[in-house]
Amino acid sequence: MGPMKKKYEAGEATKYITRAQALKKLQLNLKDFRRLCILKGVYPREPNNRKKAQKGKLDKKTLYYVKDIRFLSHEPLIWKFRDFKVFMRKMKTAMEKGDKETVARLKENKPSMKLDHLVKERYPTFMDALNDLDDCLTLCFFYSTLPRDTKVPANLISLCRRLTVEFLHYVIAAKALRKVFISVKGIYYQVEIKGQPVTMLINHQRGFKPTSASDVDYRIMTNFVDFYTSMLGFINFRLYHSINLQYPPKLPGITVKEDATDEDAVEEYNELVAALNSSLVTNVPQAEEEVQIDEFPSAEGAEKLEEAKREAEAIERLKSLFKGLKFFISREVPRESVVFVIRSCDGEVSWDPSIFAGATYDETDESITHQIVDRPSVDKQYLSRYYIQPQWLFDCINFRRLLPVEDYFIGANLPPHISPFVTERLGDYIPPERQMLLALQRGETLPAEQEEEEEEEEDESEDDSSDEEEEEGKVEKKEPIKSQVVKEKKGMKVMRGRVEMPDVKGMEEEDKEHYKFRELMIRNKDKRLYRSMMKNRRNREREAKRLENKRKQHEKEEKSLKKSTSSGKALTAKWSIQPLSATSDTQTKKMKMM
Amino acid sequence: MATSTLGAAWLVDESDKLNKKKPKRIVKHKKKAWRVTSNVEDVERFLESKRLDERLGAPLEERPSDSLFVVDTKTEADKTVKSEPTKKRKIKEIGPLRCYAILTPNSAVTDPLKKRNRVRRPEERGDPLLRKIMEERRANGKIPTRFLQSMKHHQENVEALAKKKKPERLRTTFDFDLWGDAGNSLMIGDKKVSALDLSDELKTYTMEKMGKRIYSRPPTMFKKTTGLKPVEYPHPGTSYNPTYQDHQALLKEAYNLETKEMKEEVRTRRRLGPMLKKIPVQRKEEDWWSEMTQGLGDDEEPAKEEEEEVPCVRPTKPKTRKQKIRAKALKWQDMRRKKLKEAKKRLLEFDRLRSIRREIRKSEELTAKRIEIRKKEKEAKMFKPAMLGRHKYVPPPIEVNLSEEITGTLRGLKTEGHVLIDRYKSMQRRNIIEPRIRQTVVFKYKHKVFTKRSHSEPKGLKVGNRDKDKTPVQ
Repeated sequence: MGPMKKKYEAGEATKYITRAQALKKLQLNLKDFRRLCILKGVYPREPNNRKKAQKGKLDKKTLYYVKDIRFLSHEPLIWKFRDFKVFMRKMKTAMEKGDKETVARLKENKPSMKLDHLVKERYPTFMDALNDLDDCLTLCFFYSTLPRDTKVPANLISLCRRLTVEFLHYVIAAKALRKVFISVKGIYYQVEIKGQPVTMLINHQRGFKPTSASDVDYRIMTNFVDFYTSMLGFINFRLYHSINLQYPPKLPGITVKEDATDEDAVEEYNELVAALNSSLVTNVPQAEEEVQIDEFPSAEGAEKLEEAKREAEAIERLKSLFKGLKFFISREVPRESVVFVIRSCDGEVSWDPSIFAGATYDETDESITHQIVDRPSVDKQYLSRYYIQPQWLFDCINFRRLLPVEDYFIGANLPPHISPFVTERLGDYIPPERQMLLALQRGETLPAEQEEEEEEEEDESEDDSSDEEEEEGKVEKKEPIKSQVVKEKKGMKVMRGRVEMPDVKGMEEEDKEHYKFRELMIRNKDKRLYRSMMKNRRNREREAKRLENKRKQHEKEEKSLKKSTSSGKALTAKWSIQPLSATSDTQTKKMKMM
Repeated sequence: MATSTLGAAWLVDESDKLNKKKPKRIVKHKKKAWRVTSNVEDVERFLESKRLDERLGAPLEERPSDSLFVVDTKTEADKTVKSEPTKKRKIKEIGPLRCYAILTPNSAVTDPLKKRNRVRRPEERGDPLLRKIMEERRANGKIPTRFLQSMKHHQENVEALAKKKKPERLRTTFDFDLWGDAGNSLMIGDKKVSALDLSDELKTYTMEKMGKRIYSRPPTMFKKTTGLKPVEYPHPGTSYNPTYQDHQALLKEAYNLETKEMKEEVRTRRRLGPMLKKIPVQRKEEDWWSEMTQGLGDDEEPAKEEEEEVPCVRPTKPKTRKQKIRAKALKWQDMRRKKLKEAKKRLLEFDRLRSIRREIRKSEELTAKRIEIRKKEKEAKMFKPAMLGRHKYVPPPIEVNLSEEITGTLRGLKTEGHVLIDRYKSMQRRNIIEPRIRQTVVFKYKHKVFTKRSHSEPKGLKVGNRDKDKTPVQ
């Protein structure tokens, strides 16, 4: 049996170590310990039983796993920290003695750190690193906008700026942008890298908003950014090479030596890179590859495959959404986000050269198709181009289609900017704008303008079916049949055999019956859960219906108001066709959104 | 004048004259009188001026005018306007401070002692003959190669130092693929630490054969600390131009939060009511006085009575041997009885095997259920901030534009929230860093108390009763 064990010598108590104990064990001060933990990815843990983990003590302490701390003790960075401490001590002595020679010599041999091995250790594969990119990008983007006089080291800020610009260049080159959302906090971008969605939040380009010391600890955040810069640099290197771009990014036609002494020239070059307006030098001429989805006979059936295909097509369309369009940005529009969005959808863009370097053409250029303006009126307007508000760009990307420009004209009251990140549950209320967006995302064409009666009918049918998607599917199915009928009428001699229409009603009823039987078969154990689920769903549906009715009422009222003010001539002008739209689908129909 | 010939001594007499006193008589034929009566001021002044001339060098009238004056041929405009001098340049231009300059010897008089031992200047050192030869050679353009070489090396060193890259705080150039071949040969720590979790056999093998221990990253470190996303999808109502419903929904959320907080505040206020009562200053003082004088004065006597009333504690008597033996026997008896009871119970249990099976099944079901519940709890826990330290996680306020703040254009957008605060809170929510309240160090120095001498009564010296006329305090 062995000697009896005392209390807290086994189990939960031996699994944890308090922070103070860890400090003592590693012989570090709190500042260095925090830094080490952040760099290595060691986090405090919450024990299952705090009293046992703290060996009977009741006040709440920060606990770590003993194994984690033991692992930390083998980290060579600890020695770097100690070196740095010694360095600082020597520096201080020399400074206070006024020994300039020693200070200069010490400064030259200042100990520096490399975090390569930590990046590799924490992310053994590239995909692991991509999984964790959200945080990294958001923080780096924020740090790149900091003013120089904050407590953060200036070279870290410039490094962040460089790395984030490089990443934006990658997104532009790979056409990886998928979703954009402008919120009051900042702009959310969703980017797809190697099939992995990466979301990042970039703050608005406004003045720097200082934070109080009680809000955020800058020292901690700087430690995170230290690690993230190393990580983002290596990720950028790999991403650039994956699409055959040179890294560090190079602009075609402009050469700046790496060891150039002229700082102004280097700065100017960096600014040109930051303009995001020219494609980078590639290593090898790239061969365009048509990606085709392999067809596997899957158990889920053809429907899912069809959906996936449609999705892929829509993304392909998104990639060259603004192809052939020429934009000009007015000075009041946030330049960087707009340029990024346009360029990552294959558009051409320029701006007033006095705002930022890298403008390619002038405002007077006749071939400009769209000018992006964010003010109530412009004095001198060209007839050959549309004057639109910036929201058009963002909405186009979320809808994955060029939207009619009329709603976004200069001074117009904009339609709401809808979040592309929302996923609805079954039976939720979906506002008509959102329904439109969903349909477009799935790659369907905009529904044709119909008479009001028809519209109402459609609404009713929507009410009937709880699942909105199913309904859309039906519409999709009906269309090819119609087209076949038209072909038959065109005078083919040998008549084709008609497809026998399946008995839809009978099948549906059968389905319903099956469903009821299945409901009966539910175990008593799960019945309550099932009932509550169904009840909730019904509630949601009811709520949705209520909201829909409300909306209808609201629209009716508005319509009556409009009729009284002006006979609806605006409607016909709305949603007319784009002259230079690059999409293959013909949008000859006049469309209506609301 | 008598005063001028007799000097200072007469001055005294003159004042006496005014007082109509007799002048002091001086014996004029003695040497002592010479000192008093003769005036050598003019001689001394002359000598002093001569000494000054010697110290300053040649007198001004003897010096050439070139050394004293400069012919200013340049116009004001031609002169380059110097930029604001730096601190370093200022010192160089102005020279040392005047307070220091005064202290340095600045005499033009040559040292009268030619042989005085002093530090030679560099050009004076060495053999004068050799120096002369070297100077001649240098004039002819012959410089020793040794010297040239050293000059060259020095120049090279200076250039190399200028070219040398400044030490970087962190890596800024990324020139290899970390996840490729170059990354594989990367040194992780001192190679004792491995990136991946290696098998125990491999670890023991290396320990046995190589004598090196491998420390691998504990598998818990690869696990996610939370199920939350790093960048959470925003509420659709936070759009700069939201739909009416979305915005109302978000506003309602914010409103609910606010009302909850307000309710909480009202509750705490009510609970702390008596503690937060306002008390007038006068009453507070009275209370303080009564509190401080508690137990003073007239209640000394009852205290004595209390002392008498304290009961004394009797020491316990130890058990006798007989008692001990008896207690032991009783204990044994008890144990035996319990054992017998147990055995009897076990025998009886044969009869109720069925019910026991039922019990077992029930308990197993219960454990299965509990396992399920715990699993669910654990999963739910992954979406909540954990308690990592003393402080609880405080969620940030909901960022929402009020209805009148929404302009509907990008230009008129009123931003809410802060990305950095959002990140900081998100990390706390995801259990990466513990929530904490910033501590500020306040240095409290101990006051040294002493009385000023001028204020204290000097010891041992009594100067009457100072407080005689003052009324004694209380």
